[in-house]
Amino acid sequence: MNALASIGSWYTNNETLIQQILILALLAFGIQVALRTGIFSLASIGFYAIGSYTAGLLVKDGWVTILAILATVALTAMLGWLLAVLLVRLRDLYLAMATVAFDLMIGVIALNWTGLTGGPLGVVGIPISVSTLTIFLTVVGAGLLLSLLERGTIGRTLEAIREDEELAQSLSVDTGRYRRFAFVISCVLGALAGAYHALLFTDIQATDAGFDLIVLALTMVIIGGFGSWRGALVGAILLTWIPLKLTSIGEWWDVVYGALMIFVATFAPGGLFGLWRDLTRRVSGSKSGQDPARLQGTAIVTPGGRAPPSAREPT
Amino acid sequence: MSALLEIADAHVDFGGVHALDGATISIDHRGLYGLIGPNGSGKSTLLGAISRLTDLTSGRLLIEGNDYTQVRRHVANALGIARTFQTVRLLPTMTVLSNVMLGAENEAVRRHPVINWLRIGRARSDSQRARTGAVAALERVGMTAVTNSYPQDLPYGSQRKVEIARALACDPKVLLLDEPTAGMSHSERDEVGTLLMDLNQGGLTQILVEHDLAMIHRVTTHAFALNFGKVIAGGTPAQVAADPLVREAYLGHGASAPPVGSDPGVTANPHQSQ
Repeated sequence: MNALASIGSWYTNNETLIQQILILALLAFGIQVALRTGIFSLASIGFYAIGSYTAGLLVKDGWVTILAILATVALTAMLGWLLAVLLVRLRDLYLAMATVAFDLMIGVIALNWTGLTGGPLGVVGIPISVSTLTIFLTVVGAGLLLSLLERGTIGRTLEAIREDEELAQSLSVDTGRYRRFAFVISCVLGALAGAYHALLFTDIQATDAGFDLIVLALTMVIIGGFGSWRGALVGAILLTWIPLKLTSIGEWWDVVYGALMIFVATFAPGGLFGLWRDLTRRVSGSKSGQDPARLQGTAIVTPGGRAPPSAREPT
Repeated sequence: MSALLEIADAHVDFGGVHALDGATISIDHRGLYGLIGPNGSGKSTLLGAISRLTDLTSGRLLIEGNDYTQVRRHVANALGIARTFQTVRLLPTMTVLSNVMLGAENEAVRRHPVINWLRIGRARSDSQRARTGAVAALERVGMTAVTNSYPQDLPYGSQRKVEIARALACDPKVLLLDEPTAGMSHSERDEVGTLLMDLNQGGLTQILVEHDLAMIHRVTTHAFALNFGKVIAGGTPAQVAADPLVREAYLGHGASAPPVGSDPGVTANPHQSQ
């Protein structure tokens, strides 16, 4: 009982932190999906704003939460597809710049379209209409869907597009179609993050999705590792949690932050996930190299369903 | 019977440079065609044009009588054209098997991203079929032992064979090979030469860009020579090698026949061979 109570009180003390981590994880997923496909897009942050206004205003207008969220997903999927078609020719840094410009434009529109967004006053008094559990389940669901995206035919296809687009085309990959597909997923995930933020914290400010959020989300993915959704998740946890634990150092946090970025970019360009993958690859490689019989043994099973003695684990 | 592949009056301009300047060739079923010519003569551009990675400025491409000049880049592979590149282009982030599976997964398998993503319907059996196809392709080039290695851990010659396996996994009607033996040792070259002849015996049409004339002599059934983006000779390998225009292109005016089996570096630089 004591243990349960202490978990309960830990959760109550940290609920806001957990909610922030979950929401930022969705946003980081959005950036990660794009980067893993070789699309340097930061449009997710603009869609974070679009998502928060769409869902927030619809719920405030009396819509049922689930319908408001579905409408947000549908609308942002459509807008994301349009943006993808518009930016089809851009690559790398140029695409990054164009999508940052898109994010800043959305910010300016939010600030000036007073009739819809409330301008500098923002939208306030949105009823709290999602629970932490709902967001948690969404993050789990998104993680599952993203792990499917890293396996099988589609995993190989997206990886080929990132590594060598021309080669992918020569192997019958319609790279344009797959890039649009990844871009739309990236936008929708950003929009979901924004929607949950609005529906949980009850207000939207025009400055919520500004340059700071762009930098934060990108940093999460770079430090966690863009190779997998797991990297983005770890990045979201670390970069939400660490600053809170380091409040004592105050403004020096920015220095730690910068140093961390430089360190990761220099020594671990694949981020923490990249380090972990290299490590496991090396360990499994050397294992099979040292003792091939051991690997074979696990595969050999006698007709009776029992492994031969050599393959059995010592009890 | 009509030709498998026809390239008619193909022009490719890069800025002011005429990389292809009215090249016309016809490729018959079951042929193994050598494509020779000095550096910059347009060999790689021709392979690029045939595989649709390079757009023609003008001219026509036909496969089995159907015009595919305007199809989108990824469609050429679905029409039966597979290729390797001048440099090794295997993906370092995945195993040899996965690299080759990329070839086995065809346009029909990849058409719907969402179906592949959520593994709806046939996606799972498609994936299994791709694995079987990839293993078969690795078998054909004798590389099954390295299935689970990463390409960058393999010797250079093996990497090039894995690339050929990836192209074979596409189950092509015609295979384009851009200097598949460049940088290989003598014995590795012989091995690849034998492999290409075996594939040809099995009925596979191939176009082989190659500097080594001994290799052309040994393995090809037909040959073309390019210079300044034009076809300057065509016929049997011996005819092409003996053609005065080809000699001139390789060795400069008035020179004797190109030395068979000469070092590619020498034949590639006619101005140094004086």
